[in-house]
Amino acid sequence: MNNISGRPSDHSGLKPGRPPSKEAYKTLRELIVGSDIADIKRIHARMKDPERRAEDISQVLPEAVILQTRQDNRMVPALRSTVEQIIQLSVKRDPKPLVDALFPIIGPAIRKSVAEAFRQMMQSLNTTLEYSTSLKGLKWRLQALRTGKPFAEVVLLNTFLYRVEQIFLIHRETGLLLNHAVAEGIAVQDGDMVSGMLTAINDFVRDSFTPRKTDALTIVRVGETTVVVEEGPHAYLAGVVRGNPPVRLRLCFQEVLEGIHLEFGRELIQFDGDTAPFETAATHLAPCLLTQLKPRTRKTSPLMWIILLGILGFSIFWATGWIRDQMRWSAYLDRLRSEPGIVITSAEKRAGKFRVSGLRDPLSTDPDTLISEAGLDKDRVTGHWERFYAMQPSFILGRAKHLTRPPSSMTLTLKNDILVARGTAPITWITRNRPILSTLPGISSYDDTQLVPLYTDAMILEKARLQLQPPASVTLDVKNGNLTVAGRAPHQWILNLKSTGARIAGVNTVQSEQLIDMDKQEMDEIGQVLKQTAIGFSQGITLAGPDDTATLNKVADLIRRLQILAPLFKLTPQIKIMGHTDMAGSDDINHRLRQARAKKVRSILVEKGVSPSILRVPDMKNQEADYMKKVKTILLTGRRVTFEVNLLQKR
Amino acid sequence: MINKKVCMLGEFAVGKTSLVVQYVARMFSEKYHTTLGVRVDKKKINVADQDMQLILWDIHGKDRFTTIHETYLRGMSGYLLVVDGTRPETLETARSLKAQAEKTVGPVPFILMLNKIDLAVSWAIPDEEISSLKKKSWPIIRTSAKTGEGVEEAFTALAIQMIKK
Ligand SMILES: Nc1nc2c(ncn2[C@@H]2O[C@H](COP(=O)(O)OP(=O)(O)O)[C@@H](O)[C@H]2O)c(=O)[nH]1
Ligand SMILES: [Mg+2]
Repeated sequence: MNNISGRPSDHSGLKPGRPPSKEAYKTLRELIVGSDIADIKRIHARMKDPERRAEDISQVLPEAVILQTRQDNRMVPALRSTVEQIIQLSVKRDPKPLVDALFPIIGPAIRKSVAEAFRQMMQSLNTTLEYSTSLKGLKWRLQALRTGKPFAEVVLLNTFLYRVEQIFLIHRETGLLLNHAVAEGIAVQDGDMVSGMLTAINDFVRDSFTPRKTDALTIVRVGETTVVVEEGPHAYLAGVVRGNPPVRLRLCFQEVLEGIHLEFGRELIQFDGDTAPFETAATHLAPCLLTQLKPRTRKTSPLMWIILLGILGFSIFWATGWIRDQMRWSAYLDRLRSEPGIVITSAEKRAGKFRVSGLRDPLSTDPDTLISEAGLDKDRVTGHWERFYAMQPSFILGRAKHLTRPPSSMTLTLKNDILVARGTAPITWITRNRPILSTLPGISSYDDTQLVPLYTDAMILEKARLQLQPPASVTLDVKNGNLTVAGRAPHQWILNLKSTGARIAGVNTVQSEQLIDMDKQEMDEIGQVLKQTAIGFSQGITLAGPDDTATLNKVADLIRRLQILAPLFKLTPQIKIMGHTDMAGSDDINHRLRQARAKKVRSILVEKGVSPSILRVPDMKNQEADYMKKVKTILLTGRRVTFEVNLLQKR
Repeated sequence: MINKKVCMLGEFAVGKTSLVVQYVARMFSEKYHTTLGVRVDKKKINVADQDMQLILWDIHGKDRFTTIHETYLRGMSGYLLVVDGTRPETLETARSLKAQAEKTVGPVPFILMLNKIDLAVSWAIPDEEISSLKKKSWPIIRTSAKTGEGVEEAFTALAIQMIKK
């Protein structure tokens, strides 16, 4: 506009002094332009008439718009605000036409987005349920409280340990692979075949199972591996995920798909198998190769803390070292002072070293062990200790115990300077320690009357031998204080054992069942022998032979012995002397002969020293017949004298 | 790299899978697992100084009445129509499959494979039939998945056509 208005003024300024004739101009113009003048006039009129101009533009406008869109996209921003205003205005005036127009799109769009939201929710719900009861779950609940995030979100953040290994960008119509992104270190499958198969499966599932064409396969799960599929209008993405695919992977896919459709929209529609234009699409895919390696990141942080705490602790340690040492030193000295049997005479600190000296009972706690207990370094503390005997009751008692090592079966107590022993102790301990304990410094007297002495079996046996003086035929044995006596012994000795045996020190019981009374045995034997002895007679009252004289001498000896033994048992022997005859001769004569033979034996026995008071000669008148019946088989001859022994209780 | 989706079309047991296996792996076996739905293989070739990849979709039909889902055909750049020379009815199936393919993706290049030529004894498709197809300018190649005869040739021919287009 400026240029056009400027030109005539320049023009008129060139030749101001030559005014041309109007007629000449007109002629010249007619000569040059001729009949076009009418046309120019018409055009001029047309340009000025807005109605006609609108008509003209309306004819070329559609082509112009198409041409412009083909060249570049300036048209879109140019028209955008106008179109927006139109829509706003239209909605303000009457929303119905727009609603009608959008209705068929809005329905499915809402359905799809609701379904999608639902599926995402289910995915998170599953993991939430899995972890809500575990210990981990509790931890995450706390995390949720702390950060103010919903629990479900925290679970998602924590649980998904996954790796997106590969992403396929697949042309939707042909199923051909457009691009392929692979995470580092993953062995690559043949992307071309995989994408073909995926598409085929996708188509197959859609054709076979789902009624609506818009629904597409979104997840294929085989064991640990999941294939996540996100569809766009002309291409879709398939991600191979090891582990649990995160929810944000789907969002990532959606964004990438939008970006790819924006950038490659035309190429996708015109795709004829040449993948070259899509080489740059790899940069879109890479951000979705998500990996989550949660445990590793979690592990480093406690380590850092430990190191930091270590450094901090170390500096505090050094800074407070002096104060700490001082406090410990005084604590150590306090401890020593309170320790019985230790008396401190001096303590000092010099050039970082501690020195303490004093008196110490040998039985007191070793001051060196208290050094480390107080937290001090042993090398920095030196102690000089003089020995002394502490007189506190506990030390006197301790010393007593240290010296005598009393057995656990007894106790030593100290009361009013009197040392008292109670319980039981071996007699050796008692006798050995009595002089030691009664002269122990610090006590006035020692009392072991309440201490029961214990003897060993050997000791008891020794004592029993001494006290009982057993004959050689007797064996003694002691086991656990029980005295067992066996063998043979005179009656008198046995009586002594019974009265004194149990009183031997250390003896609990005396067992003498196996002990045989020699005197009793002999007495019984004599009775037996006498009963079976017969003194043979020839005719009349003459002894049958020298054998019979010898036998009678022996009988006299036996009866004399019986006279000695029986009183031991408070018994009196009574010996019947019975005369016998053979069957020859008259009863009367035989009777007299029997008496005479018995009397003869009696007189001989008395002669040999037998007390006549114990000898009886019974009248053999009646008994003879019975006797003969009894013995006839044994004795061939009836001419003899026999004996019968009775032991009567002494009154 | 140029990728082309190619479908194997033909009735059950005409030898589609065998042909793909012969082409891709140079193998033949009397027994194959019947393909479930689809099997995708890949072959890199160089035709007319052009590197390209054939992505071979071996669609499986259980019997002659199984229809092929349109979605399988969508986006294909060409196809191989396989006929079993010992079963004349498979040619009929091929005709209807061709019609279905054209309806779905338009007129894309294809090759008719007359397969199993090694079974000459039981060959059952009359020569007149074949020449009438040739008159309609159907590209026909006789093949045997068993011996490998004509297999490479057929696939290459299809590739050339797809490039030209
Ligand atoms: N003799 C012979 N047998 C073939 C040939 N091609 C396929 N077969 C056999 O035909 C049967 C069906 O083959 P297959 O590849 O599974 O057919 P598909 O259902 O079309 O995939 C199998 O037993 C193959 O061994 C061929 O060229 N010659
Ligand atoms: Mg098969």
